Amino acid sequence: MFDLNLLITVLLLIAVGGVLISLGVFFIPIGGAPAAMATATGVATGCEMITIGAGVTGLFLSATLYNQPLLLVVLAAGVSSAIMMGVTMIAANLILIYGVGAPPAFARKDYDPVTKEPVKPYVTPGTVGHGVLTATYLGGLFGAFLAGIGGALTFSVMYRFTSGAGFWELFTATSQAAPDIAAITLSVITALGAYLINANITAYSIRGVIESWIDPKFEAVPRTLAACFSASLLFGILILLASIAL
Amino acid sequence: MVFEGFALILAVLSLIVALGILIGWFEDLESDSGSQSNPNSQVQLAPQVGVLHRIYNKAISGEPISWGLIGVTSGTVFTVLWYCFKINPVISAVVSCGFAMMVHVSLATSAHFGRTSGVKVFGQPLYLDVVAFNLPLIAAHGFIGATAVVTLSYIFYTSFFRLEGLLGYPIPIPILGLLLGIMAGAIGSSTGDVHYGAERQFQHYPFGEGVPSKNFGHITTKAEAGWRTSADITYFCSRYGGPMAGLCYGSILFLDNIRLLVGNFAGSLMGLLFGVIIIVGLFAINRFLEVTSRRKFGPYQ
Repeated sequence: MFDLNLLITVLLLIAVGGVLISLGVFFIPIGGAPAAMATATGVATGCEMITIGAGVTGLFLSATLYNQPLLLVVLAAGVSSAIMMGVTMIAANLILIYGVGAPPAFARKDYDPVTKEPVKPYVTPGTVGHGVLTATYLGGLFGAFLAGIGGALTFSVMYRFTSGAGFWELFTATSQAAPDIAAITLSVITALGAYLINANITAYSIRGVIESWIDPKFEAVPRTLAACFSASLLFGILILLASIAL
Repeated sequence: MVFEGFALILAVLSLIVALGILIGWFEDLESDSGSQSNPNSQVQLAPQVGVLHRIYNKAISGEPISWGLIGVTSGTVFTVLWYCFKINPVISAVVSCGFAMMVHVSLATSAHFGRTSGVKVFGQPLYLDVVAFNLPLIAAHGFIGATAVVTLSYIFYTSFFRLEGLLGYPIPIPILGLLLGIMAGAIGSSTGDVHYGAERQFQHYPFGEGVPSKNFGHITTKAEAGWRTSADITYFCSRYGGPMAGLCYGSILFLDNIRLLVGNFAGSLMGLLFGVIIIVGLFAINRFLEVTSRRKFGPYQ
């Protein structure tokens, strides 16, 4: 009754989407609550919160491009998520600079690894830095791009599967003239679940805060990606069982 | 005709951006008036280091989850009224947001009671006048934000089918409410909260520095006159933190939708390229901000 190749491909793509979301979280500079007090660098909120916030922008776009080729949809959604993250980090820096009166700086390194400018003299004593610097800003853009691709992959694959696409229609443009609203609803909820599950596993691994790719916690990437792959595979099996009932 | 169609699309886009600014703005002020999200850690910590206060604390979840709940509650009631009972969308939006605020205020009340009773052992009293004074403030800000979320969801959903996919998203209104609420919470939490947490909450320390960890918990409890309440905090944050969160939300909707429009008119690849150009522009703006702020403020002294 069901094409086994199709089912396995959908499962694998959902798992790859989860891995991409997790890898994206590692790149996003996440400061948690201390960042809101300008005690730590990064974006002042939790892993799941900022990842899902950035991912939602990509989900909007991938829902609009429901019948376009898969590669185009995921790339466009990734760029959307990166735009959301870029604007958010600029607004956070604007509030830090003009509302709190402190320039972006971190204490982990003497120099910004990208611009080679000295940053340590600007750090308030007793803090580990504040704001989003050029190095972590680039990491944030790239991380949101990866997380957006992961979420859009989960969404699009799930949408195409539940609206009855064949194996090749998973990757190419489909002939749908109008969107299937029920399938979109299920796929959005699936993508939100994928974001929460993978961002949460990664949050345990980085203990809530990370300073993008310059942080030593970045070494935990292989283990975390393996955990996210297996968790997303299990999640995919459950969600496919649920969608077959539709 | 072509000109009229184009003007209509631009009008819808400007309405979307205006509503986006309202959502971000009032979402942040609502969270400030209840000390939700990041700054609640200090409000909760204060009695434990001997600082008693009269600040409202209703944080039992992050802002995105709380605003996702508001968005999906009001969106569901709106859909039932508008789609099933064929009631005028304007009336449906007001009624649905009124219902969502009842849910929200009951959560805010029980959350404040629970949070305050948790620090009773440190001598923090539960002031009933603080509850009575702040609940209308929370409900009012939440209501405006929720109305904007529902209206924006309605515009996105209907304009996708009316404008043949040029603008808007084909996602059902309750789910759109959930997604827009989650996004509003993520933005308000990561931008507007910095103004409350790093500046207003520690105002008796010098301006122009981050908060060292040794000062944690020692929040400002005295206002310009008398004890500081959450209304003073909302007043202060409405001058910079709230508008900046709104600007952030509006800019995201503007940039993303203008990219969608370019993609629809000039082809998807051009839309992708335009998005990359926007990202490069954002990076340049951030770099400019960083360099000018360091030059202006100088090293820490």
